[in-house]
Amino acid sequence: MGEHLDAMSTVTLDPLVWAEAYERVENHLLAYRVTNRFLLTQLTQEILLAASVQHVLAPDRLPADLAAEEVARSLNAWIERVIGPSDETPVRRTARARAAIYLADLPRRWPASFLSNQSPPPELLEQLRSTYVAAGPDLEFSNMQLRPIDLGPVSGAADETWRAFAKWPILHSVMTWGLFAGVLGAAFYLSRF
Amino acid sequence: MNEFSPSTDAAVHRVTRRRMGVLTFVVFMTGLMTLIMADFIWGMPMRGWNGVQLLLFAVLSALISFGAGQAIFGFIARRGGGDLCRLTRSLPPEEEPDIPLAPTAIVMPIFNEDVARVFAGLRAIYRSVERTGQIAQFDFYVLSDSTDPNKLIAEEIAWAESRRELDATGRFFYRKLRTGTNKKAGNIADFCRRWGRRYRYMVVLDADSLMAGDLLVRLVRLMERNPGTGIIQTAPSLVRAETLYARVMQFATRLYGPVFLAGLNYWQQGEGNYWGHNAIIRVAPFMEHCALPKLPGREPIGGRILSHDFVEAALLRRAGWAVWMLAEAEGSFEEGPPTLIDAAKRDRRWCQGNLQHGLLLLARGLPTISRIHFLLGIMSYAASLFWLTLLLLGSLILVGFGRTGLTWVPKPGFAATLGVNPAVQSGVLVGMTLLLLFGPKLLAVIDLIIQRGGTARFGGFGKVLAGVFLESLFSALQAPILMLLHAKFVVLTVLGRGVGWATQRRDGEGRVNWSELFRVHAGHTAFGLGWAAILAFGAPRTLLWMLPVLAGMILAIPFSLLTSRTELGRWTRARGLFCTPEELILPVELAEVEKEIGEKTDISTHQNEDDGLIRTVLDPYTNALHLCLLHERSGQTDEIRRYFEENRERLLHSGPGALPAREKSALLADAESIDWLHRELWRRRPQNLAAEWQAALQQNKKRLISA
Repeated sequence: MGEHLDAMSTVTLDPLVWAEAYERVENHLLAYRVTNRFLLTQLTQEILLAASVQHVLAPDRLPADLAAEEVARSLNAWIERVIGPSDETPVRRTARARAAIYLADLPRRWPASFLSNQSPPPELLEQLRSTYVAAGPDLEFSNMQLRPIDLGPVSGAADETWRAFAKWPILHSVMTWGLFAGVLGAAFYLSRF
Repeated sequence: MNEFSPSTDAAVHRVTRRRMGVLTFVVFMTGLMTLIMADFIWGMPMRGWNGVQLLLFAVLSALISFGAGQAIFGFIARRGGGDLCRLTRSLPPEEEPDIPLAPTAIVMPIFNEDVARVFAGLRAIYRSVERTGQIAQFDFYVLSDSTDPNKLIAEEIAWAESRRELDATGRFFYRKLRTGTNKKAGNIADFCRRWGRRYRYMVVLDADSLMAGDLLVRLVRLMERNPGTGIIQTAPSLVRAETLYARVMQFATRLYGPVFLAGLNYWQQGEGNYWGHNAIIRVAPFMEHCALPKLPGREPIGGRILSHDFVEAALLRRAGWAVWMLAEAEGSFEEGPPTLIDAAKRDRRWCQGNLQHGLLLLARGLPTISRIHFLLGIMSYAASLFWLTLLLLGSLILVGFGRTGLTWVPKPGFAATLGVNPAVQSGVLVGMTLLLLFGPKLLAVIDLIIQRGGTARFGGFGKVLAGVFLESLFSALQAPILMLLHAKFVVLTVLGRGVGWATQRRDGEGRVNWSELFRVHAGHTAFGLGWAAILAFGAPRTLLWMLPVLAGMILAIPFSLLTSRTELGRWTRARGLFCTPEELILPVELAEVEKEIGEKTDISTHQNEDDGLIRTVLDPYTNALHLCLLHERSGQTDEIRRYFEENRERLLHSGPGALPAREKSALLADAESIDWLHRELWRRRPQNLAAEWQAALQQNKKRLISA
C-alpha cells in the first residue's frame, strides 16, 4: 500500500479532485456488490493508480472521468480474461457477463477473485460459464395456425348485423331505443287492471 | 384405448345412462314445480303475463334442479369407494412408478401481477417437484406481457434471483412478450409457437396458482396412461384467504366442492371443461386445434375470445380428444378475490366471455356437451336477469292487485279442489326451492360426517355446523347483490359496453375505497329501498316474503364493507370459524409461499413510476439482466437513431420526470440506449446529472452499505 501512495504522490493535482475520483470509483464498485472494505479499498486504489497514469498522459482530463473509464476498462479486461473471446457484440457480451457474475453470486462467494489479476478458481469459471444467461432454451418454431370456426347460421347473421351497425351507427341506437320503448310498453300493459 | 376413452361403446353407453339419470331428475323436479306454479297463477287474470312468469320460473327451476341433481348424483357416486368411472382409476397407485414421465412445461402467463407472490409460488412448486426426484422432466416458464415498467424490471430481477436460489439454470425461463396480442390465450400460443415442440405436455398456471409436485407428476402419468386425453383439469382449492369475504368463499367451495365436483365428473366424464389454469394439456393437439380466431363483429360480443378455455376444450373435443376433470385430487390451489367488489370485477370479465359463447352455440362440428357447457356458462349470468325479471314482474302484479283491491286468485286452481289453499301451495313451492338450494349443502355436510375424520379436518362438527349456518346467511345476503350486478353486466354486454373496470383502489391498509364502495353499491341500496317502498304502499303483505331479497340490496354497502375487512377475517379464524383443512394443516408448498412472502416484498409495489427505469439504468446487474432479455436492433434509420439519442440525453440531463411515459418505455425497450445510459450515468460527474439521478446514486450507496 505504501508503494501505491508513493506513486500517487507524484501526481501534482489537488487531493480534493482525487477524493472525488476515489468516491466515484468506490461507489461504482459498491454497485457491483464489492462490500468487503479491504477489497473495496484495494481495488479502488488500483484503479486510481491506473487513472493517475492516464492523467499524466492527458493532464487536461479530469481524474474522476479517467477513473470512471478505468473501472469500465478493468471490468471488460477481466471479463475477456475470465470468460474468454466471443462472437457477440460488445454490448451483449458485457451484459451477459455481468448477468453471469450476478447469477453466480460471485462478489459474495469469490470476493477476492472479482477484478483480480490472479487466475480465478476452476469452480468460479465453471459457475460463470454455466450461468451465462439464456432467458429461454433454443427456439423450436412450430406452427399454430388460426383455424376459423364455422359458427353456423349465427356467423352470417352476426357478421351482417355488425357490418350494418358499423355502417349506420344510428341503427344500434335505434335498436336500443326500441328496446327501451318495449320495456315501457310492457310496463304500461302490465299495469292495466 | 381404454374404458376411459370417450369413444368406446362402453363409455358411450355408460355416460348416456348417467346423463339420462341427471336429466330425468331435472325434468321431474322442473315439471313438478312448474305444474304447481302454473296451477297457482292460472287463475290470475294477467293477460298473458302468467305465461311469461311461468316460462321464467321453469327456466330458473331447471337451473337449480340441475345444480341439486349434480350434488345428489355426486353424493351417491362418492359412496362405497367413489365413482367407478373417475380418471384416477385408470392408474392404480401400485402402477404409478412404472410409468415414465415425458417432457413437461409448467407455464405461468403473467400480466402486471404481484411479483413477490408469483415467484414465491413458482419457487414452491419447483422445490415440490424437486422433492419428487423428477425435476429433470419439467421446465418452468414465466410468460410475461406486463406493461408496467416497474413490474417488468421486478420480474426480471425475481426471475434471476429464483434461478440462482434454485440452481435452476437450463430449467427456469422467462419470456417477455414485446407486444401483447390476445392476452392470456395469445401468450400461451406464443409459447407454443416458440417452444411447444419440445414438450409433450404443458401445465398452465395462473399467477396465484399453486400445485404440489406429487400431483404434477401424477398428472403426467395419467396423461401417459390415457393417450386419448387432451386435458386433465384439476379442481383447485381456494387458499390464503384473509378477508371475511374470501374466507367464507374459501370455506364454502372447500366444503361443498367435493360433492358438486363428483357430480360434475359423473355426467361429464371425458367430455369435461377446461378452466384455464391448474390443468395439464397435451401440447401437440392443442397446437393443432386450439389457435383461436376472432369472432365476427366487435367487442364485447365479437372480436377476440375472452373466455378461451371453454372454447379450447370444445375444439379439442371436436377433434376427438377427451377432457377429464380430476375431482378428488389434492394439491391444487389458487386464491380467490378478497372482496365482493373484486369478485364482481372478475365476474364482469367472465360474463362478457361467457356471453360471447352465444355465437358458438350453433357452431358446426362441436359436440353437444360442449354446447351445453357454453349454455350453462351463459345461464350462470343470464339467470340473474331472469330472476330479477321474475321478482319484479311478481311484485308489480301483486302491487297492481293490491291497488285495485281485487283478489289476485279469482279462479281456484286444481290444488283448491284437493283442499290446499293458495298460501300452502305457495309455501310448497318455496319449500321445494329452498330444498333444491340448500339440500346440496346438507348432502355435503353429511358426506363430510360420513368420512373418517371429515369434520375434524374443518375444525370439528360444531364449527362446521356454525360455518354452514353463517355461510348460508352470508349467501342469502350476497345473492340479491350478485343478481343486480350480473343482470347489469348482461345488459351492458348485450348493449355493446365492453369490460372497462379498473383495478380496485384500496387505502393504505388494504380496505376498500369508500368512493368505489358507494359508486358500486349505492344503486343497489336505492333500488332495494324503492322496491320496498312500492311494496309497502301497494302490497304490504308481500313485503315479508320479499324481505330476504330486499335486505341484501339495502344492506349492500355495509355488507360489502364489512366482508372486505381483514380484521374480521382474522377474528373468525381465531375462533375456528370457516376453517379449511389447508388452513389448519398447511401444505408444505403453501407454507413455503407464506414464509417467502413474509420475507420478501414486491419491489414493484409502493414505488414511484420511474423506480424500475432508474434501477435499470443505475444498477449494473439489473441493467445487465434487462439487456440480456432485449433484442438488439439492427438497421435503425437516422431518424430513429436521433430519436433515441435525444431522449436518452434528456433523460440523464433533465431526469425521468421530463420524459413522457411513451419515450421512457421506448428507451427501456432499446438495448443500445439502456447500455449507453448505464455507461454514461457512471462516467459523468454527478453534477452533470439531473437531481433525481444524484439522489438515486446516493440512495443506492446507502442501501448497499447497509445491506
